[in-house]
Amino acid sequence: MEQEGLLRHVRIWSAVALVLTGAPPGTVRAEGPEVTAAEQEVRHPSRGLVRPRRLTIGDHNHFMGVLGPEARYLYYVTDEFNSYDLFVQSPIEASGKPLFENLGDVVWPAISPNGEEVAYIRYQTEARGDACRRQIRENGKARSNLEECRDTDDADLQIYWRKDGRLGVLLREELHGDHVLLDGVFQEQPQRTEANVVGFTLSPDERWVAYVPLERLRDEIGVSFSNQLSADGIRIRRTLEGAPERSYQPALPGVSGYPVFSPDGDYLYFSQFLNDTNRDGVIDGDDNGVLFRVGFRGDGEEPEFGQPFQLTNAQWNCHYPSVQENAMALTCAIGDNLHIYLLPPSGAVPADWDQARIEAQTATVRNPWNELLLRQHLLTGARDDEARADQLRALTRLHIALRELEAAIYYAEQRKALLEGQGINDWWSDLMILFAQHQRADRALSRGRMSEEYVDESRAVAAAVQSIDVADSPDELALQLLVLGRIESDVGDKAAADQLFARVDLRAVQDEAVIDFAYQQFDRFYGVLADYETRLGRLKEVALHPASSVTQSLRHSKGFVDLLLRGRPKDQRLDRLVATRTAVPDDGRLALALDVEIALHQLTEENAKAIEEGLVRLYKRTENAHVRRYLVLTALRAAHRQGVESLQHALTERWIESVDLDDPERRTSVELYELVVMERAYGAFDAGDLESAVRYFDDARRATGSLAGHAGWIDAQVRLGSTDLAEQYEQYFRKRQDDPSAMDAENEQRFVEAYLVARDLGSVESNGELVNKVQRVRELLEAAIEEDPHDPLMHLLLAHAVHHQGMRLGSREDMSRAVRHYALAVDLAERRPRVRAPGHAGMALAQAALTNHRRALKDYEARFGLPFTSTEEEVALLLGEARSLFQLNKKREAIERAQRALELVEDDEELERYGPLVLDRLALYQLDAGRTEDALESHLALQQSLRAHPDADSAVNEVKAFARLSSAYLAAKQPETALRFARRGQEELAAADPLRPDAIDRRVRPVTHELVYDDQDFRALFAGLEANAAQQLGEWEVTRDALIRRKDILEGRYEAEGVDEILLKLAHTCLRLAEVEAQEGDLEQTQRYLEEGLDYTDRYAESTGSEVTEVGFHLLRAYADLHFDAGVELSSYSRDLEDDLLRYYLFLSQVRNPEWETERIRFEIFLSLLRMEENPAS
Amino acid sequence: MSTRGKLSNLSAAVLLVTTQGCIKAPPIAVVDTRTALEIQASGEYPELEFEAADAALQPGPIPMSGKDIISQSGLAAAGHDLDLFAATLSDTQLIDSMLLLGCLGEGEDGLLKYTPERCEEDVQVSELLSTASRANLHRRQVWEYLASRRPDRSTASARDAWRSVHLEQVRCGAWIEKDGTWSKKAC
Repeated sequence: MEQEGLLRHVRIWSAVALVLTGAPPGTVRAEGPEVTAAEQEVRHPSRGLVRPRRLTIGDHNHFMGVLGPEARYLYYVTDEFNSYDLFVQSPIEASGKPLFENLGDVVWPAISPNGEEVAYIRYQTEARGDACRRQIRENGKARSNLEECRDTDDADLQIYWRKDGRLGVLLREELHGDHVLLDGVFQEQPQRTEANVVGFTLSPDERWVAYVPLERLRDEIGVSFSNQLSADGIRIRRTLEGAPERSYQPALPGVSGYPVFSPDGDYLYFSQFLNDTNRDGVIDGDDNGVLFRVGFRGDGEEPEFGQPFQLTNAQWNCHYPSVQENAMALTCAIGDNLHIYLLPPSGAVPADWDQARIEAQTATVRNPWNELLLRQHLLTGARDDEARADQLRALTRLHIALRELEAAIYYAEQRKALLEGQGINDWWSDLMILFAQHQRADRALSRGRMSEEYVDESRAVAAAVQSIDVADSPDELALQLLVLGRIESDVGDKAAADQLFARVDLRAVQDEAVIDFAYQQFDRFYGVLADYETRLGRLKEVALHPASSVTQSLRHSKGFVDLLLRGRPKDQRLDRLVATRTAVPDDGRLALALDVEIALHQLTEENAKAIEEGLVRLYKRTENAHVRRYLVLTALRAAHRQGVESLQHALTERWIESVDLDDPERRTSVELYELVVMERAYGAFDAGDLESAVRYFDDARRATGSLAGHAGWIDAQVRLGSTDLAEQYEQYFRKRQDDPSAMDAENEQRFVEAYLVARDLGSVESNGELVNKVQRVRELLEAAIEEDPHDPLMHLLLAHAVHHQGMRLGSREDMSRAVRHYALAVDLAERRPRVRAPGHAGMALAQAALTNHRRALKDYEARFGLPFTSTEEEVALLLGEARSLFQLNKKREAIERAQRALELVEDDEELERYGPLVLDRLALYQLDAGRTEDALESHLALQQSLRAHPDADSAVNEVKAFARLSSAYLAAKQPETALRFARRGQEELAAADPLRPDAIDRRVRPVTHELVYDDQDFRALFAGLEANAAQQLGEWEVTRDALIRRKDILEGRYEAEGVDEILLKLAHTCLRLAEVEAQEGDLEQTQRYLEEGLDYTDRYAESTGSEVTEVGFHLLRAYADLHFDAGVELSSYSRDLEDDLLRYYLFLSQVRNPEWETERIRFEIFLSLLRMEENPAS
Repeated sequence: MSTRGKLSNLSAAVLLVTTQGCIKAPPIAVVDTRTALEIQASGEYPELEFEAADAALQPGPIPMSGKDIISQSGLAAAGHDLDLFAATLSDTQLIDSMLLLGCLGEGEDGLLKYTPERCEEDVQVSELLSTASRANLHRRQVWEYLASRRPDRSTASARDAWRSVHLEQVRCGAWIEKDGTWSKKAC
């Protein structure tokens, strides 16, 4: 289901799970510097906005997350198995597992107040849902498989728990009926109330209910199918009968929905749909949801509300908050799927940030949706009307830039009302409202609105713009002309627009918002006109404008420089820059932008130092943080674009030194410094200059605490031969502890210790020792991740360690845990290819180990899209990819990958030892693809390679080689050779003692099965091969002997192991024996073998529930032929042929397969013949 | 059900051997399922298999050079980390990026063309078409306006003149149609 569609689908049942624990409400809570310990745990204190921490993984949708008491476990709905199932993660970081086996869909989990039961809505037998409940254990796991369900004709839509453990249901009794609340549905006399609402929620003390009313759009169609959310906001009233209903309308644009109380009752959480994000012309529950919370006080007769605070970024599209004391689970659409995320209950803006801190953060933020989030907080906490008006203007501008026009109009109207209340003429808001209205009309045109209507409306808007009296102010006049110009251009009168824009005089304008608006309109209009000179001239005028702030001026200057160069041949660009620079005064931002660009256009590896010196001079000439930031970032962008790693990092060093520790810009500068130094380090590492690499990695780890810096430093030191790294690190961290200015190093220390242990796991000989080491790594990293869950390197290292353990112990659980952390590592390293590469490689191998080969191929593809630094790794991954391709029956591609691996191995002396392994796999894949000659050739090469590497050889491989050769010659229609190899294989098998060398710990073990081919399996296999070869040679006695030998072996195995599959092998062998006896003319024996074979298929069917089997089908066909073709009387049959035929015929008729159609018709004829025999007259 | 039984159930797609005449059984093949085939027919090299797995599993970042990342993967190691300013995507920027990705092309008739055959990105087609169509309407209006400024000029010649200037400003790497053939703008 499409993501949007899914959300819509989910919203049909739209209510929010209730959490009815907590104390009675007290005072209205104001947001402020209160921060709980758990909130501190969820976020990293020094890292800006809190990012949601993803709890679920995988390529499926996960939604309706509900946290258990104290966030010990998490329930959620997933479509992983193509239906909606209820999963549990206990603890919340664990892998998700089905809570119980279920047919049909299960949605809407809700945990009882005492935590002993879970309720949900089940769609098992019909489209109408039934509310169900079942008991759970303290860790959230289902106590038993017993569930109690309502089994009525009602459609249960939502559920809620009461304090006393009663369950309430919002339901629909008739298809087009109204919604009804039924309280205490599992009691004898439930209480019934009419209620056309969604999102029904009870306060923890059960004094209040909140909900969103649904308005019926058409009388004849049920409210569930034709409704809209009420524009009057959330309704709230006392639970007493007859209590009046109150409306809570937050001071926000858009519509509100889905309220839920916090566990202590001090807050009401709700979703706000701020804008028409899906651009369908309506703001409703199908648009992106943003979570807010508002302080709530409900101990009086009337509800009291505080100010609403935005909790999530609008881009995340979050829903279904499940709030516990310390954490909040959300369903958000970040990326390709819906997932469950964790945030503090106070949301993305840390609760301890004051206005000054938020303002500082706002100045550095680069994501406009984050800026909206921060500015909403600034607006709510504004000290006075002036500050409020500033924020309203900023919000209006941002929403216009994002084309979120309803919100823009809302905030502009708020500003206008605020200022006009003080007697101030708010011409800016007037013009912006009209501009946004015109934009809204323009968008409607794209949705198919009639152009006449559009032109009429736009003309009316233009008339309103013209009617605004602007005579006294150059700012007002300029903005009026710009808005009018834009409208005229959009309605098609380019001549009028051209004249209007030409009249815009910016010289006396003082308002930087007007200047910015002018920049956008000039750029757009003259761009469409392809009037390059005017465009460049007007953008230059704007970029040089003295009324702009430094940031705006730099942004305009950068835009001007980009325009100067865009589309121009490379060899002309420098000349254009230099020529333009001569006509620009020296002291402005534009001059700076041009100087920087001129310098960077000449950047090469050779002159990097000189260029950098020039940039440092520019840097020193200013104290302005914005200018410095511009300089550094522009230089780094150029260095990255041109791949010049040697651009010295003095610029970033200077920058990092100049930014205070508590400055929000600090984070950016530290990250960039790390980026630059690490690039240099990797460049040196790649070039084999390990001493320089060590130096740069050391710079990074010391200055920024970079985990990648630590990992690189360790790797480079190991290559240089260092052996005392643990001791060196002991000293390193001791010094750090003694340095009061140093950053907290606890997590670094954990990572380093874990890395030093985990990087050598491959060399650990004993599994016992391995388990101890992995245990230590897990302790360290799980503690570190708990503190900072967003560093991909922690997850990668943890995945690496548990992957090692999983593959050596054959542990599915470990491998699943590795998958989880690889997924998180890859997710978190979206922009870090060096981390994504090992993440994808590990993920591919782990998924393949779990037999998820399709998924593995995606990760192989992602890994091969990135460079390799080790041919050995490339060979290993080519072999892994070939295996997954083989498993998926992609024969040609599997052979190609194995051949590529062979080429690499043959080209590299150090990898030659892999020859036997690669050739072995290649021969297998060729044989499987029917390329017998190629397979035999590869086999010869394998024998040669094994002679060169005798250590790799073993008796079992000799035996397997003969089996494969025999098989290959059979396929090549050379039965004599095949027979010879089958017999030699049996001799080899008899002589092999032991068949395999002693088991060693240090090997890869399968995690999905424990199957090992033992000598009995080989004996049965060789007997079969011998029978095949003898049959091709027409040696029927030999064939019979081999088959009887095979049958005896298989019977012995079944006796000993009782494995179902052996029954089928026995049935198959009986069929073969019947064929031999038929050939020899012994019909009685033929009949006996066929009946014995059919008996085996019956036993198999009884044991496994499989109605029919392939071999049973062949046996039955032969059984019928024996009667109809060979004339054996039915009276001698021990089975009822008609019954058997009818069973298979019905199956073939139900499961129609074109390839089986002939046989189905044949069976139909057999049945008709039988009936004719029974009743010849018919 | 046993593990082996489960494996057997995986083999739903085994070939049906159609036979004629009296009793004819399909030959006993080495193949049961892909996994079973692998287990019974692939060689066992525990040490090499382990070494290969160990070589493929890396505990930390792979020390690729920035140059390799750019040249082999077309990626910048830094990505958005180096964004200078808060970015909101205007219609013009959307069209620019779509021209570079090959989802749109500068058609010979002066209009933007939707070119899905070259577009490998997961784009919102309705949004793209609506933006391109609005931009094309503006272009037509511009040609008429330019033609109206010079009485001797037709809309078609105004369009051609406009296009030659416009294409100079189109970003390097954008897809452009010339003589019925599409190619990327080289700079």
